[in-house]
Amino acid sequence: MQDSKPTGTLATVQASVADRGPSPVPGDQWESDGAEDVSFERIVRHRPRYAAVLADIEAALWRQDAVSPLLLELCRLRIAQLLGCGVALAHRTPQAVAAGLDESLVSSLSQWPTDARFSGQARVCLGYAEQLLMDAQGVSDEEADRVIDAVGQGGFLVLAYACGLFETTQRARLIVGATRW
Amino acid sequence: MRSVPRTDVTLEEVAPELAAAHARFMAVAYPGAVDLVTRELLRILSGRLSHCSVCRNLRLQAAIDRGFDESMVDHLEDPTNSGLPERQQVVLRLANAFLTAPGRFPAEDWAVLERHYTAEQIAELLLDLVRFRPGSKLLVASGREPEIDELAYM
Repeated sequence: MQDSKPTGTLATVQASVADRGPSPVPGDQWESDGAEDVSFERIVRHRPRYAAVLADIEAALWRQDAVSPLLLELCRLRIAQLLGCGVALAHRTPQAVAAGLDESLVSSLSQWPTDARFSGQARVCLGYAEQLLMDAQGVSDEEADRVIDAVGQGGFLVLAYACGLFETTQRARLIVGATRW
Repeated sequence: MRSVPRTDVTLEEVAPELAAAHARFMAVAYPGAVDLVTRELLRILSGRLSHCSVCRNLRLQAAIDRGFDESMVDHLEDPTNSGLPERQQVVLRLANAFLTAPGRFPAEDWAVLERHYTAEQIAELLLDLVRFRPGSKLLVASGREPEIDELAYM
């Protein structure tokens, strides 16, 4: 995949995940359809009530109406690009597809700062998603104002939570060496 | 650290179903299958690496009652010479890898983890790591960190 060449902290985020070695697939206490099939869900279902609430959170996130599923999906995929999470990149959230997700836009996602097909709203949200991934402390008052102008105060809050969730659920797939979302 | 709210609304008001599910996520986490001291170390390390003052500074009295000691916190990022038992060191390596380079948690460490923890316990540790950061990001970005950066006990 062609990607932009970030600098600074963003480059550090990418570098930290770019030189991954072989997938550290957990051992034989995990149920699997086959030697190569590793799923985060299969692992966490050993703590079923806790895992079920995570599923509730994901369902609620895609049902809320402060941020559109299309914007959420672009942010989720951009975080996947930066973390190098292949299974997240290959996945499409059904609500985003149903809302008309444009795959050509997804193909150009790494060029969002300069590609005119990305709306001003999408650019603001993608910039916010990248900043949240790098360091939430680095969200400036000016950036917060831009996000609130673009998606409202509710959208600003939902995006902060959503991007944190996208990040950790993708990190979880990476650390277990998941072969599918 | 910013302690001036950037919004007049809360997540509970704009996305009540999501906020309620997040609250349940925290509620269902405890009590768990992993000892509370180990989970406290994991939580504090996540708070440090997420630059979240609340998570970094919060101390659970129940963990202190079960043997958590403040000196343990000195070695979270590099537990090798900490004197902590292997079972806690490997959890800290898991958390460090998860939050910095998740593709680089080696197979040898998975083997150590599986030697000390059951499938249920490993599931719990992974879900803890998934749980901590979204709330931290929300708190930090929304400007709702406390004004005073000091330890707090609950």
